[in-house]
Amino acid sequence: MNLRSDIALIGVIILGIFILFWMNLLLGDVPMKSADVFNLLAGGTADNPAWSYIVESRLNRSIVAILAGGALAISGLILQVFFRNPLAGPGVLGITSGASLGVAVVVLGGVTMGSLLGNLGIILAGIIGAVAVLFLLLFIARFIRNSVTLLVAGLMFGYFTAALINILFLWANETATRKYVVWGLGSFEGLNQSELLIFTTLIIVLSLLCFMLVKPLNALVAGTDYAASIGINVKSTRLLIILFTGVLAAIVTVYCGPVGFIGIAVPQLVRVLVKSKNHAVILPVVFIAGSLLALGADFIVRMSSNSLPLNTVTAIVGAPIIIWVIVKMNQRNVSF
Amino acid sequence: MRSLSILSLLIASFALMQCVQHTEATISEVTNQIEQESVEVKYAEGFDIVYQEGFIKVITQSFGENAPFRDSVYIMSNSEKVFETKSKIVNQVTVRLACQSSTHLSFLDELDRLDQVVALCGIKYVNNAKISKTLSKNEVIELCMTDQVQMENLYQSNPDLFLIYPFGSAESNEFYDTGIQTLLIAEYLEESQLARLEWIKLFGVLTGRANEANAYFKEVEEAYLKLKNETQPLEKTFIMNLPFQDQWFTPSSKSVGVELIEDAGIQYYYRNEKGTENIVHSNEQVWNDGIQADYWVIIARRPIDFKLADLIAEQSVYKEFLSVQNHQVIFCNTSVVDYFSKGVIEPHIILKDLCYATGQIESHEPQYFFLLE
Amino acid sequence: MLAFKQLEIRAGARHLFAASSIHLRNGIVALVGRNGTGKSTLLKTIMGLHRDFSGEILVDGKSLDSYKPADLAKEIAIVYSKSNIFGSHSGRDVLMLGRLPYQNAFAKETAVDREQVNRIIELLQLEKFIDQEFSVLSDGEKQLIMIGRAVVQDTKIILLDEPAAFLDLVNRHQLMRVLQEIAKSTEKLILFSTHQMDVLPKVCQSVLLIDQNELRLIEDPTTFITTIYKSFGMDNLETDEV
Repeated sequence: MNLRSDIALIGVIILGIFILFWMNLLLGDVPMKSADVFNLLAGGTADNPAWSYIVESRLNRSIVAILAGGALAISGLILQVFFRNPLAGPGVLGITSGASLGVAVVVLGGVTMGSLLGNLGIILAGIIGAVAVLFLLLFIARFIRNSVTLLVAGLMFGYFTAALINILFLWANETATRKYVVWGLGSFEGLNQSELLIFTTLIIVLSLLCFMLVKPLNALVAGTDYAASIGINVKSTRLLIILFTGVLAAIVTVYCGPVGFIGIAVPQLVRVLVKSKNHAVILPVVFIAGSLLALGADFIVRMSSNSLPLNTVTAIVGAPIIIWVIVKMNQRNVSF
Repeated sequence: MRSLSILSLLIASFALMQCVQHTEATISEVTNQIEQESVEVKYAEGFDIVYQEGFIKVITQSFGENAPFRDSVYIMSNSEKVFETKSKIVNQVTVRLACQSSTHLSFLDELDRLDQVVALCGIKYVNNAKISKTLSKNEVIELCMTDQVQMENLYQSNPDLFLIYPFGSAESNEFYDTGIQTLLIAEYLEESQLARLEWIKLFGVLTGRANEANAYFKEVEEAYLKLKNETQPLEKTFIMNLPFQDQWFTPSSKSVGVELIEDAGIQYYYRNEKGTENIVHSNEQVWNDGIQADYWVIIARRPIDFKLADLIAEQSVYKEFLSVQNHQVIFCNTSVVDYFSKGVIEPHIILKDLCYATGQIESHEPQYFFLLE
Repeated sequence: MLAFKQLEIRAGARHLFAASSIHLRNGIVALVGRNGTGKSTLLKTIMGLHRDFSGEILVDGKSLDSYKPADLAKEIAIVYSKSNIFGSHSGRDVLMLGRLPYQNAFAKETAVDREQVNRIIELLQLEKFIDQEFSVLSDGEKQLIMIGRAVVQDTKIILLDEPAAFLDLVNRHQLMRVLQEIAKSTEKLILFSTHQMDVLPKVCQSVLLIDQNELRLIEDPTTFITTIYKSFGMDNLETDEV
């Protein structure tokens, strides 16, 4: 029974991804026929030479959305299980803020995204910021047993880094400031081929590495004490969780801006919908569900001629999901 | 600094009291003002100057579809005039100005009255070396460390008049209760380059340099119109600017900048789109259209030695653009020139740059716009 | 099955207790001691989670140090006094967690796993509530499931850290019945810490007592209560024995 309903869920999500992916390729401000799109994807040409670039850009951006959404969602899932709190996620815990601070230091310092060195610098700064926040959280977690309090600490990190970034603005020039602000709105567009290659590789490799956490995650639902008793090395698991979630969230944040809500809403929703309790199943389902939501959000952004910022759309879609799940959990009297 | 401003306040108020008590003492001042040419507003819709016995009334106002506002200030020359209690009064000889926009500085600089600026919003954004130098020499006070005006700094600078933008609700003036007199300035709402330039007359009246303002305006107006009348419609199109991430803020066809470029005889690609605000286009839209445009006019901040190849490196589709292929990218590098401030008072030079770039003038030394190599 | 040799356990700067040589075989053993004497720390130490000790702990004849966490999980299972599951797991899902040490990296359930789970459900008579969501069960039912989970883990040793702490009288009684059931049908060592004296003679083969920084084994059921009360300095209460 359970298996069948999970397979149906996976089927629906994948179908949704295919439909949205195709719509994202086909629809846009420049109307094209499917024949044109097929032809261009097959390497053909169109009357307007810009069209092949447009299709390429639509394709790239869809790929980025799929990977970024998936990465944020599994990062959120792992953090929710680890902190045993359905409200945890890269955004809430201040991990995205940490990455943002890293990016701000580099961008507002005047380094441009274009150059390879600048690129690596920003990625590294983002990762350092994200992982630093996670370590800080873990340190604080030693003194705070209550996980809601820990979330508040995470939120405070968010405000704190936002304040630091505001201070950085004082020294930044207008262009860098504007660049940072635009980045902060979030977008899946704007990655060139080499950036896309780095992004795709990193996200896929890290997401696959997350499967190392299947057994630890299965065990951690019972808490660290029980997890340790069923053969999980809690210390090394904790380290891997910090590294994987921190780096995943940081990479997405660096390339797409601090994209909110996907990291909380998707794992919550999937954990309600999926019957299997095995993270070997939950992880990939959360990934594709994150992809679906991100692709959907990006589709709405594109249909507005990019005038709606991505974060506005993810908030409008994500916040109601989060509230719905909280209400549903309370109804079923599930303890947090 | 503070003691200095208090001192000057004392001196100023002493001078005012002098005026009140000794009518004769004001005579020289009155004659001084009468000697000034009066100002006539020809293009601008956002301000008016009314001359009356003993005072000049400067009115600024909204027009067209803009959010409505109306503001005025009296420039006093006859102290016996009794004003309504709420009226704002300045003395043009001693007027100390605070500015919310660095655009105002170019007007004042041209009139040689930059020394009257005591405070400014965004000193670090001033892009003109000469103006920056004067500001720092005069120890002009920064008003906006962030987006907001810092009230303490405003009090410290103690201006006679604070020139502000009517952003948000103009009727409820947030500075009203501070006791600091303000004047709403919205030169950016004007719909033509000459109307915008004409605001120099307002600054002339405020600082007692109406003659110079009139003369400068007339000179530029003539040069501009002469050039404009000489150009022939080229039947060629242009697109504008560069995207920020995935959004392309293309100016409205009614914008002053677009109008200026069209005066050079080329046509804006999006001229049929309505509205006075910037229009957001997606990348793909502009790529689709931009490929056909003959010219590409870009106003952007880039490294000093920015080349056509650097532009293509930003986005490879640009190499397919007709304008790029034909080397017809007309570029204004705002990290080099002060387009947004100084450019406002030199539309004739900008127009000449554009005519030169489009091959309508043989020889010219471009200052703002040049063809990217 | 479980042996201590010249064991000395510390917590930071504090010396908790020492034991010269104790050997535990299968059966039910209670761990008794006053608050703060180190009962939980002893259980943690046996689990390999508390490293601050000297001497030797032998699990199934081999030193504790020679076990990797994954291997130790096949030797020792534990039940804590309170448990909380994050997620909408059913009782059956929780039982299945006990099979984790035997599963591959993707935690694939095998027929053996399912068979083992079903066997324990039957043995402990959990059928009534096993398919309900764990989080809505009563504390007593939850604790029975956690014990079932420990049995499912198929270890030679089961530790229980004050398993009855949050249970009412009836549930405590049932818990003891279940432990006896497990001891009878399997060859396990069941070591549980408790403050409940009345059940000791009926249920336990021996008692581990921590007192005055010493861990002692009391092997004669008839002397359990008197020895404990005496060591706590409460000799006059021996007549209260139930």
